[in-house]
Amino acid sequence: MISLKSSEGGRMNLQKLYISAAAAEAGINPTNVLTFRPLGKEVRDELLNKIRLLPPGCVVDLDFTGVEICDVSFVDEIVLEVQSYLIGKIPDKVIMISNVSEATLENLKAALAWRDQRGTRLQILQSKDGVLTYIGKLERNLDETLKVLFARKKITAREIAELNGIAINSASNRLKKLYDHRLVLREEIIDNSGKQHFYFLP
Amino acid sequence: MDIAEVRAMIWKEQKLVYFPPLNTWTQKTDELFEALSDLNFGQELTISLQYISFLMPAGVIMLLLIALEGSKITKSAVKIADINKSVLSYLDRIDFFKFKFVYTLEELPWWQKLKRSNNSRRVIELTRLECPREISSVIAKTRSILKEWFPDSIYDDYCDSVTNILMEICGNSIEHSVLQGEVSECYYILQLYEQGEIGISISIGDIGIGIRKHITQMHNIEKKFDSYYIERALLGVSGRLDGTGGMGLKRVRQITDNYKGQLFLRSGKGVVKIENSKFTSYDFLYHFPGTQCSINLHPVPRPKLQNLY
Repeated sequence: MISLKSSEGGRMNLQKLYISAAAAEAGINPTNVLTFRPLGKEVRDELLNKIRLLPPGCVVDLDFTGVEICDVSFVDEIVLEVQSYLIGKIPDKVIMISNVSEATLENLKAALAWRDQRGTRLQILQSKDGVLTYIGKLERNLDETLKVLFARKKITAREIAELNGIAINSASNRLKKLYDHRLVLREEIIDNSGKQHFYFLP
Repeated sequence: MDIAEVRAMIWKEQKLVYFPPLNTWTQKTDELFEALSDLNFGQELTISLQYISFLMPAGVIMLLLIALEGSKITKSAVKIADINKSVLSYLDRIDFFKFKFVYTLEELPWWQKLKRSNNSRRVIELTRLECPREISSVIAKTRSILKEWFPDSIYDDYCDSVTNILMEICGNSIEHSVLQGEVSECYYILQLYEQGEIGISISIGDIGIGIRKHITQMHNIEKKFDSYYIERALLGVSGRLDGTGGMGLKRVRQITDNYKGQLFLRSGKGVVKIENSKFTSYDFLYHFPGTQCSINLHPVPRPKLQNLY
């Protein structure tokens, strides 16, 4: 586990989970080609079991090193179903993906597009060459706010309101939505100005 | 065992059918199914290849599945006869007769056997899949051969696309071709063509429950034509009981469209063809079990021959 210190003292855990290791634990061999939704469900369960045991405030990096291609159904299970589960059941953890091959990324984008058509829009954080980004569709104001967070790593509603010249309630709503989409982490702080949340990313 | 069964075991009635040139699955396929419609337990089925001078993957898969279905009905192995030497050479090369349900008495002289050298690595032999856990290893092996055929990195996406097609269709076959608790099996073959338009022809098939039955497990749809169900499947309708799924065939369709390829999906009495993003549906008279898929995909840009493997 890698422990990162956020700029204002809060501790954030970055936990890597290797997809190929989870696939091997599910009895798949080799793990460079991952296919078949029922097996994807098994790997998803392996991942969720591990994620549940992690401490709150954790960023889980689903690392695809060694996976050359993962079909659309499999990647739907191990990334998008995990994200759906987090949104519904685990409020204090965020997943991101890294070292994803082009072929797998294409399939993930296809899965996201079809979920979008079915009315279940999702977004996923992606770390690419050390730079954080996201895939999926977001409303423009949320996209702007998230990009500010990508740059600053940590922000409050007040700062977003000042930056964009909007009411603090609107800024707060934007950040809350990003949190609800499991794209950012949140921590409550109480200072002289009262209770507020700061939102952060690795 | 009743008297009829005993009699059938002692005196086997011969049934001969002629395999037509059917490298696409349309009217000719239906005529073949008609010829097989009165096949019974105890008969001995012989499939004559008298009219066949070459076979493409779609023809190979159909020949194999007809033999498989024939052997299930008659309870004995199916004989393939009257095989042109070059066709026999090809069938030998693709391991056609390694399956117990089909055989031939015809033999190739050793000098007509195609060697498995690099020069004949333009085909991926008939492969049988029956265990979900072997899909990854079998497809990984196929993928490594594809990468040998198209070593240039500009064809990485093409190799990925062919791999995707195989993964999705084989996965569907293994998962959906049987009712719960039964063992499924599917067969596939890939052929690299270098004459005319360079490309890969993929054919995959099973003799399972078919698309209509799979979809109606989950959806209360009652339509006359099987092609309707095939079209729905291609548009993302799945019969998966947990409500997930439907992405696989949509992805296959998307890939076929991206590469301006050609796709045939056959199930029951129906066939749907997709070419240039257009659906064409056919419905015939005779039923054949399972689902079969044939796809031709051409790499872009067109490779120079010397750049292939």
